[in-house]
Amino acid sequence: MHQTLAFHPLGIFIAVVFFVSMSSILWWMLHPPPQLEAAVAKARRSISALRRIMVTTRGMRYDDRAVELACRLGQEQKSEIVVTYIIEVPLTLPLGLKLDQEEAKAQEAVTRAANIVKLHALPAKKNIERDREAARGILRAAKEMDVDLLILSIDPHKTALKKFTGKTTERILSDALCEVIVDHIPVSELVQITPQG
Amino acid sequence: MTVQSPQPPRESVELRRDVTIWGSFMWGYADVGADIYTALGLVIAASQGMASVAFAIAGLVYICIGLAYTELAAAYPVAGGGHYFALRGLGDFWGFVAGSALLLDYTIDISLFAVASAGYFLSFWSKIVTHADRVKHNIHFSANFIVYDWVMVVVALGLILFLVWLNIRGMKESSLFNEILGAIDIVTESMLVMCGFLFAWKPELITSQFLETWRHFDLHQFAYGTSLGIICFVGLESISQAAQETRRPATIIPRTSITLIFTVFIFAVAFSNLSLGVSSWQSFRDHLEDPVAFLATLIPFIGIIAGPFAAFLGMTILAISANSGIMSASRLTFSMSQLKLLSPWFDSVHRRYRTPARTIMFFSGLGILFVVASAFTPQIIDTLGNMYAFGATLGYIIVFISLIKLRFSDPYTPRPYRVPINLPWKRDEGRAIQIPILGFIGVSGVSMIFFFVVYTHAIGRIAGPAWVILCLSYYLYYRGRIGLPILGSVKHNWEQEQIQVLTSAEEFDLLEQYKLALQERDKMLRKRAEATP
Repeated sequence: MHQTLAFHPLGIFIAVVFFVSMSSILWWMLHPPPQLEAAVAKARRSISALRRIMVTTRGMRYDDRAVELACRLGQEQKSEIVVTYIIEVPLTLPLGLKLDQEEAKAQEAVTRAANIVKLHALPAKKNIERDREAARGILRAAKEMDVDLLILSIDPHKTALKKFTGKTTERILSDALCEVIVDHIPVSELVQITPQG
Repeated sequence: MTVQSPQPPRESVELRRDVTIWGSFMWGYADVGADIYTALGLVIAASQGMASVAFAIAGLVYICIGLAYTELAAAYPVAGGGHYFALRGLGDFWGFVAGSALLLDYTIDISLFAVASAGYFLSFWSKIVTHADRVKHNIHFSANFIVYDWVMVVVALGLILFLVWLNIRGMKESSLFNEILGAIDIVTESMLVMCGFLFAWKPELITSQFLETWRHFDLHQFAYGTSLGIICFVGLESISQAAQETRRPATIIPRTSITLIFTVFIFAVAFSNLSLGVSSWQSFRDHLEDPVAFLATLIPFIGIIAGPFAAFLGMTILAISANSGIMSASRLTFSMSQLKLLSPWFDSVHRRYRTPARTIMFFSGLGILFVVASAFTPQIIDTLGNMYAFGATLGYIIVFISLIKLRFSDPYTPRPYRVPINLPWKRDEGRAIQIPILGFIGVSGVSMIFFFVVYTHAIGRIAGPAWVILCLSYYLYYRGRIGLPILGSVKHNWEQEQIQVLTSAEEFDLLEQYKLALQERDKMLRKRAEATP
């Protein structure tokens, strides 16, 4: 049979490309991700079930951090983040009374929180509620909105004074129908986040 | 219309999960990889200097089909392949039609590749042992009753019987056979391609041949070559046939399937470009029976031993392709039987080896009949090959339609791999349906090929529809006898079955995803019910 020896740079290039593409695709095929155990998969996917996350805010710096935490938790499954501010109205006042200053503060707090959510390209929902008691208002809002996770941030200054969770947090922990995360950061870390404290 | 099955549930023995990642890849490669050994010469002879373009066009349609199978096989990792997807998407009747079409393909696969492997074996034997050209021996009973090349027929029958024994022994043994031979084939083919491009490829030759063909372009010839190129990619669904026996199928199948698609595509394009850059298209026209071996002899340094070795190579890969046909036919009928499209007689699993022994023997028997019948025609391989593409293309059309339908009817099943290019459509329940644009392109492409196959293949256009009609007659009889609807479907609890499949496959991550999606759907339905006065 007639054989002709022929070297051509393009032929050499094609041979190299052929070798590299075949080797890489076979290598990729032979290295699948590790298998997940049933319990691990269940734990991993339970986070994906968090489609609506509520985070409460009072407009404090540690509240903003809790909002950021909620966003990170909801990032993969594109959860809706509901930022809730409860205006506590004392029993001595009518519930529907106009409270301009408090409402302005609430509006500012939820707007700032919603802006954090928007940075993560997640759907944000601003929610301002009135109630006689913060815990009751939060629980009612969580139930009405059918949230999957509730994130509460607690004032690190209060815990520094050994007033651990406070009655609002305790009631929410005992009565909530959904998963609850209490976000507590030490005062020292709070100072690092925001020098003005 | 759906009805409950009147038959009580039967005790079933599950297929064991023995197929590894390499085994899964090799089941597909065994089927598709062999086609180049027969199609290379035919495509070059038809498309001449534009053979590479013909292979590329055929390959693009093949890639669409491959991606559709990848998505469906990973989402529904059960035995059955195309027929199961059609049944899930379109109902029992279309599941049966797709199944019967693919069954024709697999049965022909057994016969065709056993005969072709026998041919390569005899060619190898004559080169190594007798050092003379192979002589074909015919038996003349009368002027019109001649058995052609009986030695090759006997070798082919012996090979089929050996493969039957191997498959009954179990997937582990059978898969190991594929894995070893397939690995040798891939390494050798790669060596041929690389040595060819390094030492023998002349770009000016391929360019001049392309321009010459372009100047005298014949659309009919080119279209014919392209259709032959498409036939050369038939068989990629074997991976999905073995899904129920593959370890971690939802993770493994997308990888093995995508690797198979691109490996075969790269080989086809590389071989066609190399051939036209090493010798004239006319010389390949004169070597239609052994184009790869002929190409090997033209490569400096390795050409002396490459001839007989290429014959050995052809023999092995064609043998594993026939083996793949046995596996696919038996698994397909096993699945059809379990889904009440065929008699439970096919449903039986061997107590000791846990393989569908009865279906293996039944369809290999049919394969033997095809070999014997085609031995009475002068060109045995031509006769068998004529019917080869009909079943596959008909099955592929139904599979593409099922892919589109399942995106709408079953959006909850997690898809570890999704066919690219999708149009999101948000439905009122808030869940976005991904409309597969590539699916619509694929339906059009494969439909055109189907039309072309029917138009150009004289035996295929008679035998193919006749096979499907015969199968449908059986379907009418069987469903009528057991009191199940002909056009309607047996009611299945698909959600429960999907959970069982994912659990048995140990695909726990997908299982949790699926449960989560169902929970969300139920929650949404509950809310909607509560909101309705």
